[in-house]
Amino acid sequence: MSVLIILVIFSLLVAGSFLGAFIWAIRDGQYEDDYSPSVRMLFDSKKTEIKHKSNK
Amino acid sequence: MESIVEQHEVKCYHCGNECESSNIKIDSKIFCCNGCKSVYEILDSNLLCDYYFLDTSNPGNKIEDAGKSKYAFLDEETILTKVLDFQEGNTFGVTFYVPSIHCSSCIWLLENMQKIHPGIITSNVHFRKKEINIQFNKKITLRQLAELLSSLGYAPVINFNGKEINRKTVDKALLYKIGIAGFCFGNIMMLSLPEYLSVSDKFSGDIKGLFIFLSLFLSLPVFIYCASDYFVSSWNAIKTRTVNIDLPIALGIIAAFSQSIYEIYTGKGPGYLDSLSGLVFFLLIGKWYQKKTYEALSFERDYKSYFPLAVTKIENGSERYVTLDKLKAGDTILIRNKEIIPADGYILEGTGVIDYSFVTGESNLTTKETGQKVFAGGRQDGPAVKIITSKVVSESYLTQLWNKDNATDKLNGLVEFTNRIGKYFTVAVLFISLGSYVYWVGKDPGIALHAAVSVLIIFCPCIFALAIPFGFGKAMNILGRNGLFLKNTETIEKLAHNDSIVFDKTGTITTTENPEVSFAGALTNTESGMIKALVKNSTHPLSRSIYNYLKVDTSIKPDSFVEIPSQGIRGMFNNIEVIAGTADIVGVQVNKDTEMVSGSKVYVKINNQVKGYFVFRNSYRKSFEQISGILKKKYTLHLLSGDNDSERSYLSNYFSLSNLHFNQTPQSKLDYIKKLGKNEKVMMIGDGLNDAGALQQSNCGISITENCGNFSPACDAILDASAFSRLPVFLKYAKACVKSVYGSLAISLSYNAIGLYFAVQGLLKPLVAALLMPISSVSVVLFVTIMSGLWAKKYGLR
Repeated sequence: MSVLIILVIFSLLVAGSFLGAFIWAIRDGQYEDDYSPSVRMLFDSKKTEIKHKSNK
Repeated sequence: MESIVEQHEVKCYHCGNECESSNIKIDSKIFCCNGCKSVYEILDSNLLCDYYFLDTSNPGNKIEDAGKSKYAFLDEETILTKVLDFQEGNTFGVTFYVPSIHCSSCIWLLENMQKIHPGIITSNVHFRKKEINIQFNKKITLRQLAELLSSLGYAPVINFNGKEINRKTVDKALLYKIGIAGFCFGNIMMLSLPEYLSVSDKFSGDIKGLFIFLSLFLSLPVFIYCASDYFVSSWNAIKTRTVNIDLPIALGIIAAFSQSIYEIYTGKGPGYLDSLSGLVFFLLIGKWYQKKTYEALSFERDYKSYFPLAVTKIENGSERYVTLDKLKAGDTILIRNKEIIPADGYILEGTGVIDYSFVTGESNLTTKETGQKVFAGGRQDGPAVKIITSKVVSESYLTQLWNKDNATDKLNGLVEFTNRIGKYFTVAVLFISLGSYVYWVGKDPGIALHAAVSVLIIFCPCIFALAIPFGFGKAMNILGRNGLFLKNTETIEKLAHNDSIVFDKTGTITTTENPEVSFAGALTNTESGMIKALVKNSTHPLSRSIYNYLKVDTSIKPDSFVEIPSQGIRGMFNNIEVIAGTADIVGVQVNKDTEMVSGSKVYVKINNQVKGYFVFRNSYRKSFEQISGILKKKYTLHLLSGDNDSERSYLSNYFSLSNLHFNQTPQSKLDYIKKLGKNEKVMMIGDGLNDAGALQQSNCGISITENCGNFSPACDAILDASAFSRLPVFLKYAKACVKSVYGSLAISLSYNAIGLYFAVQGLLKPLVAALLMPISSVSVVLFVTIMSGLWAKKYGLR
């Protein structure tokens, strides 16, 4: 049964990394504008790359 | 007639508006004005004409002549630092609010700005907020940048207000909380699974202990961080000796947490950590749903958003830009063409031709001579004038309406209904909890505390914390799609309960589009033809109205013509001089005081003979007759108009005579609402700056606007003018939504009653709590969202 302990801790780590990714996404500002990126990706990309970073 | 019809089909290649003539063109592309043509030229020379093919509707914005010096103040160093986001060496960053961003083409063009000017490094559009973030270097100044945007039809609106409100951090904190609460909730549920399935006894003590320890560990961030808002809010309520709806929530969370710690410590079981974190998760989601706002619209604008950031002050003979807060009474300021007068004052030099449409919603121009008083909010429409200010900006006639304490219900952000019922609810919970403690303490002291705490845990006010955010949040989205934008979800309730509706007249029940034209005097057909041929050459809105009004054939063309901006147009037909324009240019003596009242006039002079004048009246919105009929049955209708009473008899068809009030000043409008508000709930519908005080004073202030990107005064809701006809439907819908929230109250209470049955007996098992609480939350949420959707369908809302 002690394998359960390892599995539980492992599952927590996996879930935790998803939480980490979510927090990263929020910090990066991905939830601030949910419209422009969806049209931006359809434009022909001749232009210089635009960094999607919130200004601070 | 044929030729006229054809001409109307010609649409501007850039902005899609009708062209009066096909004179302005480049390679078979026709433009309505030189502004649109020059935008096309800029785009064409930079190979950016993809702009016109990205979005099938017309992407271009009509170019408005803003006057050359509109952004001149951006050269001033002190103002520069206020507007810029950052400055690192030669790189500058700035964020502009651009109301005219409206489609994907806009994003594309604005993000390709670096192709137009080498000084621009990158630009990034935030579509929802209608903001553009630009990084640039010293090759372009901030002023040139603003002027470039403006010349492309994306005039930035600059004020300091946007910087003061920082919504970003607030929203982010809530998202973090939801993420963490969801993570902890899910994992605690998983760890509690053996408990739910009653198989935990088969596990060894070590594993059981680890599961419980991990659950406790995971619940800590939920309790300390995610639920912190509820503790803070209820603590604030206790400090002011009031009861708010967060109080029973906070009590329940604390009770559940301490009971769990106690049970874990004494080895009784795993406690209520799963239901606790689940509850917090649901509550936070409700909060997030409720927080959805129309970021691009501002409901909290005060006078500062209407006025420029800075004005030209004349000091010791030299001109200097100063910010408005530095302007004192007695300063001499220079107001150029198209600039707004920021403070009350007197004209020192020059002739003021002042457009108060910002203030009154009327498009009439008032002429003021040297020494006459001018009010803040007017826009000069002519050559520059010097003005001596008589008051500081914040004490001017209009602005002082804001500085008065009109905030009747703004202090407490909670819905009235929640407050009313919530108080009883909280008191009842505390009472039952205490009662069960007192009941048990004599019989079985061991159960007494458990029973009291169980009551607090189970009796969580889901109805208030979930039904309102989800039910009203959905309704708010639906209304927004249909053209009524609400400040927050609480506005739904304000919409639903009103006894009277007060309308403003100009701009609210009348529209500035398609004014009614009539001619006072007599014209022959030839004369009409000449006038029509003449005004065809002018893009002024009044000229266009005259052109549409005159139903004659225009085969003739003027031999020569000259347009005098904001004065009129003069042309020659076979040595016959035709002038159409203001009284001044035609040479008619008019009494300036009475001239203003009856609408705009355009005088006509042919061969040195004044033939008469055109009068323009704002026409009533077509749907007003219909909706006033519907609204009259349920509400008392009132009308407050700043105009004279010339239309009293017409309006008495819709309003009872005692409720018709003319010649109202902004202050008397406010007072009227205040007086009415003493006995009943009043909804005010207005548009201009002159209604702003009344809108704030009313229970529910709706500001009506032709263009949602435009400024509208501080209010509870913004109504798109095109949706005006559906106002009665919106009100009915709001009422229905309030009803469905009442319905969910019944559902929620029945769950609470079941839980209470167990709780008062001290029989509340963690499993029961863990089942009952999510089921009740989810069913309440489902009920209200489905009901809001169903009502919308019934009333034909999208």
